[in-house]
Amino acid sequence: MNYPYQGRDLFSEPESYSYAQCDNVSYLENWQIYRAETAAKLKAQVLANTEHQESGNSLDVDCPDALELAGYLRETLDDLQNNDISLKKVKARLAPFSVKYEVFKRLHSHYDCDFKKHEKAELASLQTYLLFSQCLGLAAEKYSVLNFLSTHLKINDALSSIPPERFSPKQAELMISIIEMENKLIQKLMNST
Amino acid sequence: MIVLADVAMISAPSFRSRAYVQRMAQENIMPSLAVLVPGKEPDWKGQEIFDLDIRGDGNCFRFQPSKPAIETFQQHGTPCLELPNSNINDDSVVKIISKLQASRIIYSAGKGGILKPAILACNKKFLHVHGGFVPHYRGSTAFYYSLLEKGCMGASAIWLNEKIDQGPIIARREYSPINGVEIDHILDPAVRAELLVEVLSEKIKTGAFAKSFIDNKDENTFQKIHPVLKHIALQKCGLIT
Repeated sequence: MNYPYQGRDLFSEPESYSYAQCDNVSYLENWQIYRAETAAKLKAQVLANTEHQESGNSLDVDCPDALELAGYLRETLDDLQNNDISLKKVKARLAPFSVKYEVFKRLHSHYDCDFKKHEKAELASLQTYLLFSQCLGLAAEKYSVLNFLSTHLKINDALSSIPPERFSPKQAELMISIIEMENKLIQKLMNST
Repeated sequence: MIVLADVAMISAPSFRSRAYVQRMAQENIMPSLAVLVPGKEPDWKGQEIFDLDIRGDGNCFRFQPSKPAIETFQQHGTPCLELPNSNINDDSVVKIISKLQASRIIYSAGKGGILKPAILACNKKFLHVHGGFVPHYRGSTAFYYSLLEKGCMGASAIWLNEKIDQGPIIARREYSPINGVEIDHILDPAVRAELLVEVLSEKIKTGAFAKSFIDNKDENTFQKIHPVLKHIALQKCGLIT
């Protein structure tokens, strides 16, 4: 039996995870196998080192008041990596976007200062999702916040569901490291319960 | 049988409604009216009867998850009224609810039942039992998070307001999980039913619902748990087959 959330693009067919059947003894093993297979495919993408245009998001017009999500997440990631941020601040920074992802199953490139989608925003880029997952994983690791770990797992399901060719070699490398981090977080949780 | 004259129950076809009414019946308590939400009754193909010692004091709740709530209401002579549709915020439903004699309503109306201003303004109070110890465990599947973090399941009886799981608290408890008992359809509804009956018994004893209070300290709102985390929680409860 496969991991139930593989085999379809979860960005175009979002998953609700309602009443998930996950009481099978091999459930965790299937998830681990799926993630290991994903990492192996991404590794091939890194080695292929193909020419790749890394897509980002920029607004067509100048909107100085708009919050660019990727930049905001990069700053948060720096703070997390430098141990320069309190749990309260991490929650204040990540929770609004975690809730957005959980409710709408997608993120956008730009938001207003009150965290509402900017009228000219596009869908978030692959790079933005990678950054978001990295932030959630690090926050979960540092502060043991299970809510962040849960969203981290869901975003990784979605990222794992898209063809590896869509990742640039650099993004593929980043995704491999995210999968490693996710696996460590689950091992740690299993050892603590 | 004690019939609570000022209390009605909104009952959707769900395992939660089944647990509520069966647990009340076992305690010889019934609402004065059952307001039935239309919809398909869910199927149950598992074990027929569960004897659940929720409080760990030897007193078991005998739960029959396959038995629709309406059967238990009818068995105890509780009058039933069927709503015209399942949207609790629909104008026609609000009109019916506002005309009920009962001023307190046990709320088991199913998923997505956030009450909008119109129904909250109809001079009734809605008693909801949330599956988590609030304010620390608000939101969806909160009990799985508390199983992972604290090894227990919470329940909180609250008066509903416009914010999710943030209404005034009547009572809240933590319960140890029962090893090997399915959670989504059996243990979660049974735990909530246990607290509901405790709250109603207190009302019978004292003549009024316990004084409610607000607590927003160390609040956390959870999102639906990822199945890998749920699997680990189930493993902890001896539910991996």
